[in-house]
Amino acid sequence: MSKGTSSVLPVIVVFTPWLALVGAALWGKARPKLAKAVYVGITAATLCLILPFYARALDGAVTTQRLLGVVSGISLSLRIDTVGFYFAILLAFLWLLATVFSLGYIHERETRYYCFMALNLSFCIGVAFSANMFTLFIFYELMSLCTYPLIIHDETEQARKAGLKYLVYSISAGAVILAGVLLQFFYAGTLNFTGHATLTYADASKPVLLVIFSIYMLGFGVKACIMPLHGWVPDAHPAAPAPASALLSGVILKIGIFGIIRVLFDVFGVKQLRLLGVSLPMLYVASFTIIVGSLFAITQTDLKRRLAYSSVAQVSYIILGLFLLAPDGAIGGLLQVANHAFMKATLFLCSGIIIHETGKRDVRELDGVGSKLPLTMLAFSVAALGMMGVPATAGFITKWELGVGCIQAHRPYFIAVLLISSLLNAVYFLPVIYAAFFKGGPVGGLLKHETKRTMLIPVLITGAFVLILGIFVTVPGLPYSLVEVITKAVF
Amino acid sequence: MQGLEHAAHAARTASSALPGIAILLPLLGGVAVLAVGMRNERLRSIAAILFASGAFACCAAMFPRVMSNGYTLKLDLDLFFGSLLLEVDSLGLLFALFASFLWLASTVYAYSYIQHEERRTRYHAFSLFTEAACLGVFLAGDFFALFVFFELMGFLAYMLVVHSQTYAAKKAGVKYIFMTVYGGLSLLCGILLFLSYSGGLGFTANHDSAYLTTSICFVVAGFMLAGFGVKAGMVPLHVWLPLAHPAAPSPASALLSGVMIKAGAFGFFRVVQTLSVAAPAHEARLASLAGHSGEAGRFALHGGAALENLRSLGWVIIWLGVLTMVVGMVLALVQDNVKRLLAYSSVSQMGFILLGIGVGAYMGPEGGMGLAGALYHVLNHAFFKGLLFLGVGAVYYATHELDMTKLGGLWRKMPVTTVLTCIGGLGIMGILAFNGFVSKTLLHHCEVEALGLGGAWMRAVDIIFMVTAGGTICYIAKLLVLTFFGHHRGENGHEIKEAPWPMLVGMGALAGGVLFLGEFPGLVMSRLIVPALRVFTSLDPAAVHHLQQIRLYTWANLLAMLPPLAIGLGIFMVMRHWDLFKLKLPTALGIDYYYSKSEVGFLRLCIQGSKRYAELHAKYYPLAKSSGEYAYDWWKAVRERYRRALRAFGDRVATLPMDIAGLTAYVRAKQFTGDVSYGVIVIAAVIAVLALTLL
Repeated sequence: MSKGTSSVLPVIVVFTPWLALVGAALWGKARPKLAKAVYVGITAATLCLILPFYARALDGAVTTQRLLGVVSGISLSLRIDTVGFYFAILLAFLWLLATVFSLGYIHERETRYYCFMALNLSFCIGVAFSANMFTLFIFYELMSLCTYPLIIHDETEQARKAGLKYLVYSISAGAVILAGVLLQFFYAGTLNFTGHATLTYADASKPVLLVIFSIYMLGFGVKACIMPLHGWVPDAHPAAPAPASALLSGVILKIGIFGIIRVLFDVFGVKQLRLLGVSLPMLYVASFTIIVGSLFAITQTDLKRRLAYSSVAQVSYIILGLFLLAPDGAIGGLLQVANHAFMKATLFLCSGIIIHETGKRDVRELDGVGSKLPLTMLAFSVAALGMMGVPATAGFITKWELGVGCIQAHRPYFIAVLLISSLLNAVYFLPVIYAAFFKGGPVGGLLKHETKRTMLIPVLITGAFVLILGIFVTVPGLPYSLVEVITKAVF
Repeated sequence: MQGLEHAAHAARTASSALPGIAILLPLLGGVAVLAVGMRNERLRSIAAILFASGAFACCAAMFPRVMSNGYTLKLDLDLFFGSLLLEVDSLGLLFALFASFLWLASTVYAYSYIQHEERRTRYHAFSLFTEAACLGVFLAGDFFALFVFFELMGFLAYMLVVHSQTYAAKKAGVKYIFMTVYGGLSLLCGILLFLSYSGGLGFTANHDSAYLTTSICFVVAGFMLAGFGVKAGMVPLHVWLPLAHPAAPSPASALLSGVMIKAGAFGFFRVVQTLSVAAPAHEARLASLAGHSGEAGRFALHGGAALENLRSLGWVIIWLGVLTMVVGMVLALVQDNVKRLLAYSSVSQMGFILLGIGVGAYMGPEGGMGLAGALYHVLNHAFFKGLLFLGVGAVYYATHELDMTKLGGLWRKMPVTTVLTCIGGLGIMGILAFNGFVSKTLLHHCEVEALGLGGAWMRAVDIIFMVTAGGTICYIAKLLVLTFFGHHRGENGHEIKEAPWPMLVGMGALAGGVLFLGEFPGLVMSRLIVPALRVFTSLDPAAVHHLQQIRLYTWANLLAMLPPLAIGLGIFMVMRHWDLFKLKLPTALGIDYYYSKSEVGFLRLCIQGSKRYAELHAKYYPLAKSSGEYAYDWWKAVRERYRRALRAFGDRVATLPMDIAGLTAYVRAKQFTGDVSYGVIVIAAVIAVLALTLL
């Protein structure tokens, strides 16, 4: 782990998306097409800039760069390690797809939308590349604020309300995280991520550690939508435009998870958390979220609201996996980050196409959509089957790994949670697929123009990834290779 | 000596690409069919037949090495978590052989049959996809691969079930898909627990046999059997079967009934196989003879407890089988729809198979007869039930009628179909010289052998078996007589024509299989069944060897066939006399009634729950709000008092210089006081909390 080098590249990566602002300022009004090309190009460039770090990430090597010192011991600095790279590459890829999708989907207030998309990308990568809790907190807060304009993009009454709710949740969560950061600094004297525990029994007593841990969980749990803190999710997702909700669900919720991962691996460390005895309570909270979230999803009739509740449930798979504190559980949880990102992005983008092409968003009105939008609904079905954990889709990989993790952690009864959740997923996804393909409407041949190409292609790519991640798990370059490195370093 | 030979057989493995190709061919075939289907229908159907025959050829190519020479063919694919193990042993190959053969026959049949259906390309494509998954189940090398293919098969077959997209098909599809999901989850749970307690996923190798001696193996086996039982149509998990099999197009019904429910039975065989690993009776015996301690001695110690577990599990499977065969038979008797009758008959016949497996497990080392009977019946049922479904499909193709009370007299118009279907019918009845006779005789033998161990209970099982065999004869006779003989009761009788030749070829192939299995039981036993029994290591090799020499066409066996015949005739007379064939059983008697109730109940619970949540919210939100308001009022009162005190204080210091008074007035005018004091209190509180935590 000591293979650390300093490089200015992380800084360049983090601030590349800001170039989109330049593009917007120069051509946003005068030549919107060129401006859009710039937005997509910048996002693609960011992705390309992250890619070269793959080999180093696979080695477990670390790249760091200090931006500026604040006070002694606290600085704004960047660091690319395997976890950070994993999240950054994932979110940059999804961002590119969502930006391309937006070209067809967003028709109003484009400049504002793309600018905040770019800023958000910058800050999300910033979170992933943070070298310490302070930097993470700064980028996290900026990211939270920049998400607001995406949620209220439509500026409807509903969107404003959802946006307000989101702000209240995010800002109070930010305050709580700040308290955690302060306490951690006070006790540990360092906020740096080093790949092992930095806040130990040597620094503070057990109750204090528990308090700090709970504060962090309360803070990051809002973005990771752990159940009592999930209130903003089912309002914000349906209100936001489809590509933004895909990113909210696919990436932004995962940024909360990223915070939890940092707390888990770099602040407390696995061994210490075992001693602290927080594993079981967190497993109960995650199980509660998984099952109750799915039950709520069943009762929703708005497609995007249903998907939002499904996200609440599915993201808790990650928490369940991580807090099993067993290697396979962690692998399952970390794989679920990518798996769920692709599955839910597919579902949200598909729902976007459905809304865009048919204007329908009530699940009871989707009869025969499959004959109108065959490829879209095919991708939707694959992702939905993935949610249920059907073999050969990404969801099965998660389910299996988590199941094995439950066994490794000697907590086999949590398998029941996974199974019940799969069943509930079937209950709320199968009727949608069924209605789309087998109810109402004559079945025609394939349409030539089902929807705009810029919208269809991203959906097909994410849909294909659901299958690729489900079958070719161990192919180098796919999440498993990275996740294995991460887990080996920790356990 | 035989024991050593036995062990040597089991150890030989060779790596081979054939299992992979066998699965890949239908998969590619499905893709090819989709690609060609839009342009040329004839080419598409021919391509489907070619790919199906390719898969059969692959399976046949594995025959010499696996069956005759006792090799295990292995292929480890770098998929999923780096390993998707395909391993072909004799048991798997037996299933793969008849499965690919049936698929071929059904695809040839579908060449013509599917012409009168819509979405023909989709049918052929999904038929081939399903074949790939199904062969995957049979060729899988461990429980992980088995589960993956099993689930895929379940979901892909959905497209065959709902193919016609009629109301009935969709309704059957819903039931089918949810039962598949339940079964899959149960199976997954069982497999994960199996991994947890045995430390491996293999059927035989790499696991710690100690767990097999504990009662936890019942939990594991229970979950697994429930998962496989859904697919096998085991009562009370059979509810999807009588809906789904008739709803599918006939060639698909033949596959569903002939092959896919056997995947469930295959799972039962595999579970029994894993349990038999720890109870290798002959090794224990060898060890005790030679006085070894060590490895073999450990086996001997475990052998006892594991054998007990195997026996108990066998006892449970026996009674599940009995329940399944009786329920299926009774319900088949009262059906008018030919395909529904055959579907219930499938349930009943699966009961026979489960009974055989159960007795095989129950008898432990001497269970060869039961397992052989079950395996033989698996083969037989595949052929005759496939044939019967294709036969009634031909009838439907010609008449568009499935109600047997509106058919009749077809033998004049469709002589070849009549003859072929009757061969299948005689097969399932177990008439002399047809294949059902062989397997039913074997099953009867194994029950008789088990009498020593099971006593009166086993006698009861044997009697129920006889009665069920009689019932089978009765309902099949009803089907054949009403459909093909007598005079035609429907309209447009003169327009009926013989089925086209591809359909007759498909049926003919299966009829040939029925006759072959009936005429050459010795050959089948020594070449197929006995080699397949090799995988059950608990079996006494001498007893298995004895099976090869078993003579089935003896007077005793012929006489044993008479009671079922008499019973069948009796049931037929009784039901004819009191017109019981039209009996409608009350819905509350069927298990499905309760499933539906509970499903509706669950959804109602969810909806009620969310309603209740909304109610609670509506009820308590004002309360919370009012308590908030109350707190605010209290706070205002406090603030007011504070302000009054301040005012009094201000009055008292009125004599102070004017600028202070002015400032106070300014503050009061701007209503600042309250907010400032609020801020002070919050900051103080935060400091207090931090101080408390930090100290």
